[in-house]
Amino acid sequence: MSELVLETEKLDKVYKLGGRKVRALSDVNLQVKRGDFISIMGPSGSGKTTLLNMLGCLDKPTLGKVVLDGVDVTEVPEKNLYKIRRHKIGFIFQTFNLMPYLNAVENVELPMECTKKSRGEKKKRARELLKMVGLSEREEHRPHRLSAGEQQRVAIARALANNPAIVLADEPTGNLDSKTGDEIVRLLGKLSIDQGTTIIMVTHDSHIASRAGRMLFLYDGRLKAKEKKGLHLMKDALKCPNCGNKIQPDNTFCPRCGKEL
Amino acid sequence: MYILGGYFEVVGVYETSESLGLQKLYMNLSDAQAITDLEGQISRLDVYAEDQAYLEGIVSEITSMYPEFYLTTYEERLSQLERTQDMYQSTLENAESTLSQTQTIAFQEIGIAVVATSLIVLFTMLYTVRERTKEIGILKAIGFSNWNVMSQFMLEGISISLMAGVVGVVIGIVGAPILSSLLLPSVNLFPTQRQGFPGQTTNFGTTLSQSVATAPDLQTMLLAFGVAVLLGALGSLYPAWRASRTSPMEALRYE
Repeated sequence: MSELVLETEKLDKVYKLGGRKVRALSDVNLQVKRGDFISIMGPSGSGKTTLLNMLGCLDKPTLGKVVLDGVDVTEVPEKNLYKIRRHKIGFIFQTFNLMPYLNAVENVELPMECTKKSRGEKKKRARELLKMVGLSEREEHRPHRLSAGEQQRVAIARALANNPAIVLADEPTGNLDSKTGDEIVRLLGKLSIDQGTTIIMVTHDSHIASRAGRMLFLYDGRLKAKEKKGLHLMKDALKCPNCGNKIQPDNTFCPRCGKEL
Repeated sequence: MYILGGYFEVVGVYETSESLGLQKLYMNLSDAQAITDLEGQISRLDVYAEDQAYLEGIVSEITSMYPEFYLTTYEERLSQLERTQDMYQSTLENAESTLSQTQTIAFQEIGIAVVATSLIVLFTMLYTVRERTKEIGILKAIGFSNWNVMSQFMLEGISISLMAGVVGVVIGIVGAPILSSLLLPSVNLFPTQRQGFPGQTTNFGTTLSQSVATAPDLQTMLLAFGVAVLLGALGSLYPAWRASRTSPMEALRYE
């Protein structure tokens, strides 16, 4: 249960910007267990996206290690990184980034496109995932006929397509209104509880961040843990912040004390 | 043997090295005059000199005796024949050079069309790749390899040029007879026959006939498709490679 799925060791990233060196990350040590739902908060320019790019194998650190599912990805040559991205990582973006000319099912099938799965298997898996995110009725719709929240649900289903070890969400609620944003973060929490999906979410919305089981704060490239408060969408942390009653991720109010969650 | 109203006995057959088509028979002069109703007349008289040296004397003597005769010496006749031959020769050469000129121009045009088409495909695909930088970033982030991205764009370039090939051949089939019926009456010598788009132009045929075959044969069409695919592949090669080399991190930031 407490198996480590992601670990970073003394992660450093230095950018060169016009001869000037900018230290985006310094000495980041992060340990993520299977099924964790972690939020990383921080002001803009604090290195959130840099960290996520590093974890998602889109960028290489200057120093340090990123061990994903037992593999040190900093040692994997560039041309083989796509395998890690394909099988170990699921991405969720702020702007959803669905393919406008593909319908919901086809968008979810996209990461499976280059795998050995048969057409039928891909379709079946995509339908299952859309059902999981509550979009069974909208399988054949193209993104422009879906609401923003629905588009993000499709993107979440797509991120889960190849059953990744970890899901990385970059401001997943950034383009959504607060109500829809809350629905999305609850969905992520539910997936982490029901499916055991490991999620790392970057956001600068403290309310959204507080929904996660663990909150981390990134400031000037340094990682700090923050106290927990609010609705913690993680199996062993899902309690009402008011009375400590065990709650479900989709509860809007605490069933015991009736306080809004 | 019956010839022009009289029976004659064939006394001998001679062999000759003369070319076909010239049939000759030798007979008594008075008989020949009788059957052709030309009694007392002759159409031609060959005079042979014993020696080349007597030639001029004989010529002047005949001319002074029979000024109404048209007289040519063997040498004059020979040079006349040679002139005729030269004339035919030069006409033939002219025709040949016109043909080869037309051919050269046609090949140049095909060459230009091929280069232009490849460039058009190249720039279109480069633009497409640039336009879809973000999409490439997404694809790579969700696990597409460089090769996946590259083959995706190659496939796209090739299928677009294939479609263009189909359109070109259809236009060729429909348009070539119309064009040739409009143009051929005025230039029916060595007409140039073409099908398809510039770039898929492959058939260069020459014919002297007025009724030019304008329907492209299967082979020509297949060749046109082949050229289309080749140009599509050629033009998309570099843009697809560029696409595959795009850094996913930077591409995702691209708007």
